[in-house]
Amino acid sequence: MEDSRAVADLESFLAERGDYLLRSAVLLTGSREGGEDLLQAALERVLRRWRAIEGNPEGYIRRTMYHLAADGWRQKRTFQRQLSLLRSGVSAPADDPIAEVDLRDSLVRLLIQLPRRQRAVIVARYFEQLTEAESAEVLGCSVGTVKSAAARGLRRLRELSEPGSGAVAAKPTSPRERTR
Amino acid sequence: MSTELEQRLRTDMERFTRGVTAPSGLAQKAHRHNQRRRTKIRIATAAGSVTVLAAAAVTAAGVTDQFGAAPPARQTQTRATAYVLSRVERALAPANVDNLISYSRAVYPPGMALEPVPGGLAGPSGSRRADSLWAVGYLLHWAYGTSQRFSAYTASGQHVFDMGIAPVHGIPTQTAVIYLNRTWWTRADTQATGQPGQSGQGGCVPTRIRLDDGAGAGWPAFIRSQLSCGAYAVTGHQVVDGVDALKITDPGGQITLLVNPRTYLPMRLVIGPIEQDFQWLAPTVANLAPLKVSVPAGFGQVTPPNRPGTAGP
Repeated sequence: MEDSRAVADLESFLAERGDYLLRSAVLLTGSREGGEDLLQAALERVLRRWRAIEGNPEGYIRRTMYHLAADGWRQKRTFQRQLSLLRSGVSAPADDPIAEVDLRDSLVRLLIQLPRRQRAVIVARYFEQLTEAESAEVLGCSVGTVKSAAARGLRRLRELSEPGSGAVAAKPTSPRERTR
Repeated sequence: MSTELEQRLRTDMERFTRGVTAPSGLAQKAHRHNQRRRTKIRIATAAGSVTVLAAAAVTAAGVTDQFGAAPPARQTQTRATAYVLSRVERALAPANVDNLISYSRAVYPPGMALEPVPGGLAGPSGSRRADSLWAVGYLLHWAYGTSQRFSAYTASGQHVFDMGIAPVHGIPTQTAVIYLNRTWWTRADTQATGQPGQSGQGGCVPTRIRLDDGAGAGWPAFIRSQLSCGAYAVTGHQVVDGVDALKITDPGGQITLLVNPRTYLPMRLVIGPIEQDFQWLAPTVANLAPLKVSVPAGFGQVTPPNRPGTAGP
């Protein structure tokens, strides 16, 4: 009974804010498919703690989403999916090529090449337009970390976007890569 | 937003995510996943078997977050297994694709005509253009290795012609059987149609796709190369036979190819008003049988027409 109320509440919240959260998730992962997976994973976690959430759940969902994205959630999720697909005898779907094609000539293409935490900071600061303090709160780090990650991220984007930088492939960063 | 780079970044991010809408039922789906997870954990706790514990570990590996961490040793094992499996899967996929029979059915608009000619198929020319003998409603096509067969029918299902290309003593040989005038002809040393992408120019230009392009092996490489160099572009998704196919179009928007995102094999090809649906069949005896063209008793042999095949329909 309580579960169904929580689901209904979350559904009505998503009717209002789902699109916006998904847009952030798409930018955090670099593809539509990845974005939907990320949002879905965040919703599962938030739903498990629904009773403990007071007020607007958007902050919780966003924070969970950013934590997952910055902590290399995708790699873990991919492994999980491969195992479950193996059991059903179906092969894993390819990464979303639409994203790769649509990203041509775009800074978003270069965004994918940043380390995960830098990318998360850039999305928080320049897409969601959160302040440094808000970004730090969402990412669970200090304001100083946000500042340095944003500066490094922008510097790297500038380098990559310069002609002759040789940055042509929209390759995601290594799962083991960490913010320096 | 002080610098130009930041402004551009913001604009690009807006543009890239414009039109992204959350599908309905996300909360319900999350609830179902959580229920399944709870059940798995309960089973694992109760049974205590190695297998079930491994399943729980898989679940735990996927849900590690700020609310709790999975045991590192188990995660490592899960990752190693998944890595090996993905490698095996990748290694097997190309071999499977190479060894499939391409079967397709192209539906033509009224007034369309096709004629088998040396080297392929062509639209009738001159006074033959109006000849209803060659009116085609749909065309079936099989391709496997160096063998191909076309069977043309009128919209009402009347057999118009069969045309096959197959090696005879190592020489590609074309055989056409015309049903409406009960004749047939054959011709050796035919210049058989090639793999997709070989029929047009090389390099990074939109290569023309012909409806009589060859068997499966060349398609994934052709599509990948055309996409990666930007000659064709992915323009969306479309569900074909329950598969969320990639929609690939040429710059002029005349050709649409719907491709299986896993195999890069085409599921549907649309060229103007002509629509062609593909199936990819295992090379069993039964599936290979239609590749052979046989001449029915009583049909008279004639000389092949002079006009060479120009292009696909």
